[in-house]
Amino acid sequence: MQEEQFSKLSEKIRGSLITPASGEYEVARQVYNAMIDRRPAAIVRCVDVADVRAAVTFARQDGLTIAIRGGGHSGAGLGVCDQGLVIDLSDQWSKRKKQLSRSAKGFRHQS
Amino acid sequence: MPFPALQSLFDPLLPKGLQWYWKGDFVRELSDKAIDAHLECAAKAPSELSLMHLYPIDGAVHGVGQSETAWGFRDATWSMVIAGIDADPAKAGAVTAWAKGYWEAVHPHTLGGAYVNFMMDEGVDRIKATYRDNYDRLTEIKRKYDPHNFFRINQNIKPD
Repeated sequence: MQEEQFSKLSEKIRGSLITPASGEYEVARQVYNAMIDRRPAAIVRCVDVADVRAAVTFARQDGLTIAIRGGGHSGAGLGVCDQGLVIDLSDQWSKRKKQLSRSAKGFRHQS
Repeated sequence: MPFPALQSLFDPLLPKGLQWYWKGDFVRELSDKAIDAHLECAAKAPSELSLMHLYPIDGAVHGVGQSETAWGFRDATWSMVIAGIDADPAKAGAVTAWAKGYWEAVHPHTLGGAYVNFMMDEGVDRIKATYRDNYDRLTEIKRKYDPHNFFRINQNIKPD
């Protein structure tokens, strides 16, 4: 039943949806702190704002717990939860880092 | 130096996949008694990677009022982190116990609250200590925008 529900979410997003049946699952659920060992029902890798919106709406309608992952460096492992849905924003964070690198270099050249 | 370069400075030393237990506090002064407690605890470190860092909080930070932003430790001069770290999962208990014991020993010499990512799952009292007098206002905001605490897997400010 839940797999079926998640496939509905999968159809709505441009990013990927990873469930325990996916080969990537064991790696995708890991966070920076290896002391944290949690098994979410699914991980949604968002590539744009529309994906984030779809994931949040889906979780609210289904009453799922959500964990938000940025870089995955939370000390307490708050970028992953047991059951529930991980909304993974690490792709956006990588893009933002590239933007920041460029703008910081530009600033240095001007100064 | 671009921000991402600064932000990833520790990555080669501390790659993903180590066992970590963090504890923190904000600090105003390092008294002789505090330094003695630090030296005593540091000598018992359970692994080479385990550490205590004091990050300076200076300059413009002190020119902003305590209630002007959510962060309420404008009087702090250091952000302290104690981290028990090791690659071996079998040492998870040892690094955790060391970090907790270290924190117990130095906590009386600090201002009390901590940067929220220098914390494990430590309960609501630590969150309150961290936001100090701003906590009640943050609760009001939470109640307004997320009354059912949908966004709760975080260092959580509860709506009630």
